[in-house]
Amino acid sequence: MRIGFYRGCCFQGLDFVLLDVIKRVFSVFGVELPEVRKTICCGGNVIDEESRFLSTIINARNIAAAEKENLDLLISCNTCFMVINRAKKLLDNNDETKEKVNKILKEENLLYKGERKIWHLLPFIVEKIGFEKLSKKTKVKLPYRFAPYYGCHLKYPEKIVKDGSIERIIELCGGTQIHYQEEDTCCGYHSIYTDKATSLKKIKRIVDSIKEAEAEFIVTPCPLCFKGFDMLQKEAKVKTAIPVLFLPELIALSLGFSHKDSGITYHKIPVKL
Amino acid sequence: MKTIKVKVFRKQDEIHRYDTYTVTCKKGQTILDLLFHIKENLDETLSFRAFCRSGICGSCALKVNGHPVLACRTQVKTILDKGPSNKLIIEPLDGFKIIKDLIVDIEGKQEVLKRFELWLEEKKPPKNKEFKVLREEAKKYGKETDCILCLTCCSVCETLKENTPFAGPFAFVRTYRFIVDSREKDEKKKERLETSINASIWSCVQCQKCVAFCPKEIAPAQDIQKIRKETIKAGYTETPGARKLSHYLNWVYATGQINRLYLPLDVYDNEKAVREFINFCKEHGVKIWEIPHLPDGFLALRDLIVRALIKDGDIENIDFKKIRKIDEKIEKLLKGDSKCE
Repeated sequence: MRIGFYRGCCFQGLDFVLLDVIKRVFSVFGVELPEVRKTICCGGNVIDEESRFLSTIINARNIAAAEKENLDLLISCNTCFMVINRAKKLLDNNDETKEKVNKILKEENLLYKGERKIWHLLPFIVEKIGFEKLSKKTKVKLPYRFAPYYGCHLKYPEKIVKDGSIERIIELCGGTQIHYQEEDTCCGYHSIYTDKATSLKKIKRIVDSIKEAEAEFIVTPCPLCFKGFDMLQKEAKVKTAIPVLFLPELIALSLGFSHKDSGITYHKIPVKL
Repeated sequence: MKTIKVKVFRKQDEIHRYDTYTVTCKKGQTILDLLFHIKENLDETLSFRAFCRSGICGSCALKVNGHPVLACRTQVKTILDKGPSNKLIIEPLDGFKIIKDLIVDIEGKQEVLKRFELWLEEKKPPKNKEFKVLREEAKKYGKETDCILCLTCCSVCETLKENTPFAGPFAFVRTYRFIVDSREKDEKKKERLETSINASIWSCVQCQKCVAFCPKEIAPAQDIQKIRKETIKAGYTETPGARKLSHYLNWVYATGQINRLYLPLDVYDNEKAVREFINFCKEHGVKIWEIPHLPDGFLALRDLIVRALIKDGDIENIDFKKIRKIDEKIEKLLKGDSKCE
């Protein structure tokens, strides 16, 4: 199976490691992830403040670049998915905008058709790889208490993931799912650069609640939520810092990859297994 | 016809409890019909707010099975079809002080309405003429005029949970509605932008819950984004949020990517964060980059951005002096003098 990979801005610098982990995990399941090299930053729901049209055309271009290579597009970040999906819906339901956009894309020999699917990493794992395959390939049981954290943009404004998906993966990896009071609370990542104090309060609220539920790790399918939890807990003055795993890292560990190849040696909050 | 058990949150004085009522649902019955049925036949002490029964007055917002809804517009069957059958839990909206049972205290939000002066302050109409609002203009705020002040948006707002100066999404929906109204006095528009800045408009975390739950399908988080833009246009260019947007515009224009190495510096003048980032990368043997991964066709992308901004946006918001500096770095990189992912 081949699916075009949308890189976005999530994998710069140190987080390049996360990209490698995703590729490693997917290769185990026979999924090739050719990077669609023409894709660019989705605008992070920030470019929308300047112009919704600019955001739409950038993301029409991202999808059109994958369509040109006859590929669906796999997106690993919740916010990128929300923003690209929003553009796709607008274009698929509004011929006038689609025509305006395609007129500009034509200069780059691109055309937005809207025929290919866009996937977020989590529903892709659930629907295209499947729990059965996942279960067959797991080698290492991870008998720890994991707190699943979905992240807002998988659920709002549109719910694109089935309830219990992360929980099921945790169980397949040998872990125990832990529920906690603040599991639907936003991690505040998007206000780090607009109002940091609010972000820190959000991180603290969630992590303290996870601690109270006695979980040992946080698991999230969103690289932004992951970064928020890994980088800001100290500054947020949480009672006790809890290490966080990006969902592909959890799967990598249970597939038997080394700590280094699973990405966990690059975290700010040490992951001790 | 189906018999179900309904759990209803009750509060009197300081005592909280849930009462369970057994009711027979009828076809087409709404949650509000159900509450009236309970009050008229089973328990006259149950208190809730309701008025128009048509989704216009906004007074019957409450929570059903954990999600906010307008009781008068929500059919019992729809809820039962969604979740585990026979389960119905009715509770007051989150985020407000509860006065009694399902009634919450909205006085604080009434104060916001007064403070924001959320009514139209008209210019003088053209001499011997009336104001004309053309269809194109009305489209800009047609949705926003549907706001019924049900305060559902405030009950799910992630920013309000942490930040009390934040006025709540509804205040910005209404603010936007007047800012884009051509009849409003210019000085009043300026005042509204100042009020929005003071009411923490940049604190919104953009979680999108208000968009998901607004019963009138307004998108408050998007109105907040539009007001943010207006504040920048009005000269509030030094807020962290304005500087963040500027970073995004410039770096995406120049390289197709934002630059997370320089983001703390561009937004908060935080050189320390940049140094720490570099050191952290070095510690882990990861290459430092000055220009992130350049996508294919990044120069053609610039034409596209310019064209899009000419149609909708402001090309002046791209800082071409800064772009020249980024281009120098790109040039070095392409010559092989600099590191890149």
